[in-house]
Amino acid sequence: VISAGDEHLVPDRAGGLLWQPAAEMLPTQELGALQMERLRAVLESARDNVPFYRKKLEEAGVSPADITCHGDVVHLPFTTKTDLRDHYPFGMFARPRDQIVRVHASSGTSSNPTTVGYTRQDIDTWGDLVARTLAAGGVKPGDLLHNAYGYGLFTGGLGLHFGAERLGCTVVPISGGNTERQLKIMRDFGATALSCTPSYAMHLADAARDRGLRPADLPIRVGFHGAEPWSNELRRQIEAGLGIDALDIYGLSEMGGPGVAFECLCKSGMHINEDHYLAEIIDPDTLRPLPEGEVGELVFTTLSREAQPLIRYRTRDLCSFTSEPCPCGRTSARMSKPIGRSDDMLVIRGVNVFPSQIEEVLMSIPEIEPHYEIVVDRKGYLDLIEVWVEVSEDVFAETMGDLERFQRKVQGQIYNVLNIQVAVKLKEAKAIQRSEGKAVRVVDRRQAL
Amino acid sequence: VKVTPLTVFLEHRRGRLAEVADLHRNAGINIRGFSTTEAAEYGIVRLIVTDPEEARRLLRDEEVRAL
Repeated sequence: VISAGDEHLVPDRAGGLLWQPAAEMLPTQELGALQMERLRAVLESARDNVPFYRKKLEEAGVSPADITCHGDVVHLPFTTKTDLRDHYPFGMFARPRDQIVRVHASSGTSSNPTTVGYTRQDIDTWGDLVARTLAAGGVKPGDLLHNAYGYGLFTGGLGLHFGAERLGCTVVPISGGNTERQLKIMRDFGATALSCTPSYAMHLADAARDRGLRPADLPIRVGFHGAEPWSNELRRQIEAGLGIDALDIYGLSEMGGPGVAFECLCKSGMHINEDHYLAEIIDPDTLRPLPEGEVGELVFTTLSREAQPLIRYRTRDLCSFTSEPCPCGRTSARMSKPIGRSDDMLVIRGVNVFPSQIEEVLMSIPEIEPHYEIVVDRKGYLDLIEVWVEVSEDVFAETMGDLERFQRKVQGQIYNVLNIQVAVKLKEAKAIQRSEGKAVRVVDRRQAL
Repeated sequence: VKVTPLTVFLEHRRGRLAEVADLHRNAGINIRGFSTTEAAEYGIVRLIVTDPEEARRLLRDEEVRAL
């Protein structure tokens, strides 16, 4: 059984390092047994401490003792984002509030956000999983991580931060924004590792080039980029622009944040931390498990989280798995980059946005006609959202000032709910295509990065 | 002389003002004068026309926003 305290950095076979070698190279059979043992404990805790799960398990007619092998997992009920929203803020916690040392929440929503709680032990485990992530890229004590993920309720900033501290490297909590200052600090402090969204990494690379900085002027060796889908083509551009190895990382706040899966330097799929997360790929329509290699919806069950165990959580991310051994020596299965969503969620500069959230804001403004379009585009490497609104007779006024005030009002209300800046574009009547029924009016002009 | 200007909302689009002018010409309405104020993506055009009531009706039929 893996216990805390087995951290000692040893080289993997791909040029990176293993933070918890025993756990990361656990033979497959032992890993399977460990998963089942942990799964039963999770189910018992969920049943005993979370009324929602007690009811769900009763309804499904499953008791934790019935789950004896991986094949039994299909009998367990699913958990969805709606379930989490319905139990906002703390209804999914399996521990009393006085044992919760931290709460994060998903990016802005108009309805309830999804909250995630951590016990002291959860924070430690999370740190270890992110330390594994960083070590896989060769980061070790003595390195300096420039962490440009946003700090706050979003799990990215603090997640990378605690992982880096646990690993023992120097963290610079620069957070997002102010590219000029980022470049100066990166250069002056001698950052050797970078963490931020892939689009921001590319933005930094472009900004560095525009200021005459060459990759050799910045000693960064490796970057950790997640929270948005990105392509191997963008990887090549980031790597060339900054002179680094750019690695993909995967996480979601519901599972605790970054540290769910990560690439080693082989850059061929993300190793899932299977000792802490039981992963499945299902057909999003039939909800049945799919054979290895097929693309389907990613589903996770937490195996070690104390504060908030989640059973078969539907991520809505579409990807595939491989359990082929990786040359690096890690024994965990790998997931492909997510290739899409089984719902209509948009990822805008790392922030999750559902078109329905924008729609709700628009519908709350009486002057707006029910014809609008959400256009997602990209300028350079930054995502932009335009909200096209038809100018109704109620909106239209004698002066430009009135129209501009109206634009600002709509932008302000969307910002209040979603925390993202959108550009509201006023259009003539009929300028927006009429759709039959209740089609989602989203045009995504972004090419895959 | 009392004149009632029509206030029209138009998107910035090549030929859009000409289309509105054509609408008037085809109905035999003369545009005696106009002024425009513009933002980056749209503008307000104020028109002084010989038959404001008829012009307003025409514009409404074309779903052009006019006051």
